[in-house]
Amino acid sequence: MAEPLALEHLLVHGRPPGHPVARRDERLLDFAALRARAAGWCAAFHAHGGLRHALFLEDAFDFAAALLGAWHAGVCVYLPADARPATLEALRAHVHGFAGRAPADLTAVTPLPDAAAADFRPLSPDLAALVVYTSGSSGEPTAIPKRLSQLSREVATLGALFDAEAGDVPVVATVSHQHIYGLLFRVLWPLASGRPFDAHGLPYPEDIVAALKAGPALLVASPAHLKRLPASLDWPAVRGNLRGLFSSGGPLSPEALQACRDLLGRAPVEVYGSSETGGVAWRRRDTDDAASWRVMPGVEVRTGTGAADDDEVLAVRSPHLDLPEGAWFTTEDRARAVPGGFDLLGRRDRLLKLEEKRVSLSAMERTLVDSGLVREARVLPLSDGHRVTLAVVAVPDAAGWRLQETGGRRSLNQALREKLAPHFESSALPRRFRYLEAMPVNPQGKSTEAALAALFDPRRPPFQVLERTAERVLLSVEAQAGSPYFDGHFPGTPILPGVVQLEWALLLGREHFALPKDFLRLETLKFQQVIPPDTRLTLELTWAAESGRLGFKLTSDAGSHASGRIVLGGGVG
Amino acid sequence: MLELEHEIKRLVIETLNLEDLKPDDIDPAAPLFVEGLGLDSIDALELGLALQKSYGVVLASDSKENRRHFASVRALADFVSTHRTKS
Repeated sequence: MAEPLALEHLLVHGRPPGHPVARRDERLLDFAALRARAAGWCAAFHAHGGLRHALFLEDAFDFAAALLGAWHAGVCVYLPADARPATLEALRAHVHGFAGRAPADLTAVTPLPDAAAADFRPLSPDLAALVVYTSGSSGEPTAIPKRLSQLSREVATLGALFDAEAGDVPVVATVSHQHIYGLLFRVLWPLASGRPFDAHGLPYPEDIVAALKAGPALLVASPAHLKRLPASLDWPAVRGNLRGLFSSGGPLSPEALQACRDLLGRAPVEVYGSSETGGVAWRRRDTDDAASWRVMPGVEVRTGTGAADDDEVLAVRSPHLDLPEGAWFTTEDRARAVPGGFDLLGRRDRLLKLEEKRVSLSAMERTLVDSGLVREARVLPLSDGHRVTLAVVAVPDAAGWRLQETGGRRSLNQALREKLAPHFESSALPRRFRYLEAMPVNPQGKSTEAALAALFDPRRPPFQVLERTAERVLLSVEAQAGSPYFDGHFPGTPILPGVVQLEWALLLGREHFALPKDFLRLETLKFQQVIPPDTRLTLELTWAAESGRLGFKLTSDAGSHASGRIVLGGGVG
Repeated sequence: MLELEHEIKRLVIETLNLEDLKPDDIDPAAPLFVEGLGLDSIDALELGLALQKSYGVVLASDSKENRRHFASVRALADFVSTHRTKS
């Protein structure tokens, strides 16, 4: 076990030159390489000037070197969650430069190759080190600044809790270090504890198997990945090498917990926290599904803010937060205190005024789940012409699906409205419903309001799942005459545009498979027959994760309409 | 008259954006509000505007009478056929 070092002193105190810091493919990258690379970045930031820089690098070792180099140059690092053009563009007004990925018309800052061995000085704990963006469940991303001391204290906390059990085992990860959870667990904590980490992430379950086959590892994962572990892979052959498992970023469903126990042979250490609070509590549910959360050392929690209807709201006081001495941070979660920790009771009430009447969306969601027809439900406001009405996105359980199969979607809508009617004003009852096999989630395991609202976009066709396996799904899709895509294409003889057929394949593909976010190219594209309005189509989608190919085939009673393959790459979007 | 009933059903569905509902699903004699389709007073406002635009009918200021016109699709069809100023 290496000696733990504080982030402030990491490069000053240093480690032996040959100490392994990271693994890239078959190669070990040592401390001397990290130091040299960080010196190159430090010189590059000095040469460029400006104290605020965006940083996006896919390679975790390069990222770590750039981050340390920036800090030693006194630079505050802005972490975009992804490298999409719109994301980078939005940062332009806030930063002096871009390291790694930059908008197309800018030159990215790159490390100077022959920087003299820098004379690293200890970093100030007060350094404005980082700005991260929330991947919150609603609204626009919010910038959250972090001082170095917040990160340093949190890394020390993780070390105190988990170093002894983790030992010197290398860290592998399915999550990106561009988010706070990945940054802390897959880069900063290993750096501080002297444990090597993999430079490349593991986007697919097959990659996890391959990584474990190579040797012992700690796996830093998210619920988005853990609930999609295929039972068909040879987990028994490799799980002996899994020496630690972490999950954070969102709640771990009972199914995902069971999959971890069955396939990986252990329950993950679940970490509760947020971009704002940092880590707050943890638990490991080896046998007890309802185990309470244990508060991390140095962190204090309380329930209630003093206001009458807020007596269950969880508040946090912690060195991982940057608040005035003694101040409490109020979370969006409800909790019940238990000795040494708490039980989470769900999200805080989301209240909405609808035609002058107050409606609790949270209460409506609970009532929907209590109906016994759906497993999960989210209620969201939609603007519908002159008024705002409520819409429901739900994951039905067996009884709900049966109702929909026998009487159509309307029967299930009506049944849910009847369950709500005794508790809510009739004008607040949801008007629109979408039923899914699983909630759409982002890589942090959150169902954002934007992703849910997109389900009500008139451009998305109504569909039903006919058959479904892990690699293939068969859908019945309606090209309704009312679709805006028939407008003007062409006047008098409407047909469904080819680009829309591709768009639907990709859109519905994303709802059924964890597809990578970047579109690379099309292969063997064929359009055989036009699609007139009100055609009932069958869409067959096949997903080959290892080659990144989404195959699609559109047919109807009239025969084949179109087929082809969409090639995708990049991280899981 | 049947044709007008069908037209009004379409108008109700389109105006109020009632998903998953086809004209044939609406019983012309069933109440539109509260029970039945479960529409509310704001829907009545929107529907009133739509009827005015499509058929040029103007609602009376007598709310009791209006309630009678809005009782069902059939009642609306009767009202429209006797008061319409647009075809």
